[in-house]
Amino acid sequence: MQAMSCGCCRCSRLLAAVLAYPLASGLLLSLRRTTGSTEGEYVGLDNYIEALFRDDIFHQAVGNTVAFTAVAIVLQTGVGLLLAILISELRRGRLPYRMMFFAPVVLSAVAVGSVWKWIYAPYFGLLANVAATVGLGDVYSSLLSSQATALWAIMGAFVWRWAGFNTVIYLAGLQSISREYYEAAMIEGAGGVRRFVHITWLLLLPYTYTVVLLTTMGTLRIFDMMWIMTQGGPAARDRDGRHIHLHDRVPLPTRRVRAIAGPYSVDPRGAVDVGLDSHAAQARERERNFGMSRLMRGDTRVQILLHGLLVCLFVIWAYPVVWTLTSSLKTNGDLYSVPWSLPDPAHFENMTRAWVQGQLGQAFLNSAYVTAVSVSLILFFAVPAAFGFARLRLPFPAVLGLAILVPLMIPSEVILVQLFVMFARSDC
Amino acid sequence: MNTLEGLITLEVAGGVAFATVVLTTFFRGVPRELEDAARIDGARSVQVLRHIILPLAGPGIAAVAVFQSVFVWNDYFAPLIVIQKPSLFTVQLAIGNFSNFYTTDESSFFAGLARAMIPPLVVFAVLQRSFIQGLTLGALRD
Repeated sequence: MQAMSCGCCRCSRLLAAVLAYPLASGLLLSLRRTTGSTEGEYVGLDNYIEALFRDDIFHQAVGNTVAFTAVAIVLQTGVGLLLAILISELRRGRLPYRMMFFAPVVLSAVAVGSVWKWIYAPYFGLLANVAATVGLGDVYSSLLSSQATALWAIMGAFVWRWAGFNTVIYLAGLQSISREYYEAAMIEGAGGVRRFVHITWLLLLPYTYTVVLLTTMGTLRIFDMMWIMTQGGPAARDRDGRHIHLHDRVPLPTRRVRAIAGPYSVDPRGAVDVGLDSHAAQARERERNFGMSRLMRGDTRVQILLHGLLVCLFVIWAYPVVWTLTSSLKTNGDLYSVPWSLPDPAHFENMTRAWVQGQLGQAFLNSAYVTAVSVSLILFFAVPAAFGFARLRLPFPAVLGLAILVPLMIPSEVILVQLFVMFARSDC
Repeated sequence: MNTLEGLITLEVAGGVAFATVVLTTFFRGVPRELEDAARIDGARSVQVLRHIILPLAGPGIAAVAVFQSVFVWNDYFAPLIVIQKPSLFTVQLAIGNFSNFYTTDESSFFAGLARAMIPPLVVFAVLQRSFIQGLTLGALRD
């Protein structure tokens, strides 16, 4: 059983090579000056030096990324934790809330971006109407078109989309905290704030670590939503993801590989393991009795208050989707004159028209085909490879594991530019 | 380039890594003793995989399948790079395109958006538990 060389070993090794190749070739290409279609001349580290010291757009892009990521981490963690704690204090009826807050995760970045683009739209956008109703604000410009606000407007959509994901992670974390800690703390006379800081927050730290890591990865890969909402944003106040797309020289993204792969490759395995190791077996058993204090459970008034609060949040969370649905059944005129009301009469012919004009039927078929074949192939390759990693003795497992994990940490755009070059050269 | 098969190649290349990592942890959860027993009975690696690992790690594989399906279905960037022909557009490209040609026809835009959003939401509502499990598997195994 030692030193067994079988199909699975080979498969694992092949996989690692295939995944590492675009990254390696990207790094090599970053040492050359080229427009992508030719080999170009070897210029050493000049591209890096130019990016770091002379390229203003790159500077701004990095700055925007850092600022956006920092704020996103704080907001995502905060909102996710708040929702999780509120839900965990409920005696019953947690499911609908959990489902609602999680639903945006299922939607595509494109759909979310489109909805929020119209929420921010001038004249009839949701936000413009709110501003007009309460009698303040300049309803004639979109938040997305101003340099000062564009990035933070996108943040709204980002939080809406991902907070529910963090909520689910935190809910699982809260389940793992034993109630004895809280009882002991109560006997010692600790108040609610101290119980939260010294018990809940402390014991949730591993989960916070996961949330922060995933949020960071998410913001680094947010290209699609940014693109849909701003097409590059006012005056390039936007994220670096886009510059890959527009920049005429290919090496630019690969410069970023260094910056991004650097910090992550410190210990990507540990990071992923944190979450995966969480105990699964007793989870359902615990579901019945968890929550920050659990003492609120007995108090009916507190329960009603909690439900009230959560219903408000529920409505806020659901509104973008509901608004899209009601708007889709109105005429263009009604959209402006009666933005709030239900469609009357409902114009179902809109649906048919859009279906035909947008060629959605064909698009659904295409998507279904691509998804079905891709997922089958992914499983076909991944199952034997995973079997190899899990069971068989491989030479240098750490190296192979890293080769697989590093690409995971890097925004797909970086690799895709490489792939595009490869595709273009192969003339297929 | 500009074929659905080209797009599939990209999606597979992008998805295999994550699937492998997650499946590895699921497969490690299968007791070693079962495998040893099978090997003593003369099973080869392929047989161990087929008769022992696959049945026992079924839920894990299902979760990975859900995750990858959602990911591939929702992917915008890869199709944006690979596909230019409108007849080959995926749903995401079609939605992305709405904002270009419906700039003056908002209700059609919303209608198209709604049509594209409803199916995934319905599927999610029905398979809610496996979706949440599948999508959070990068962070925890519930």
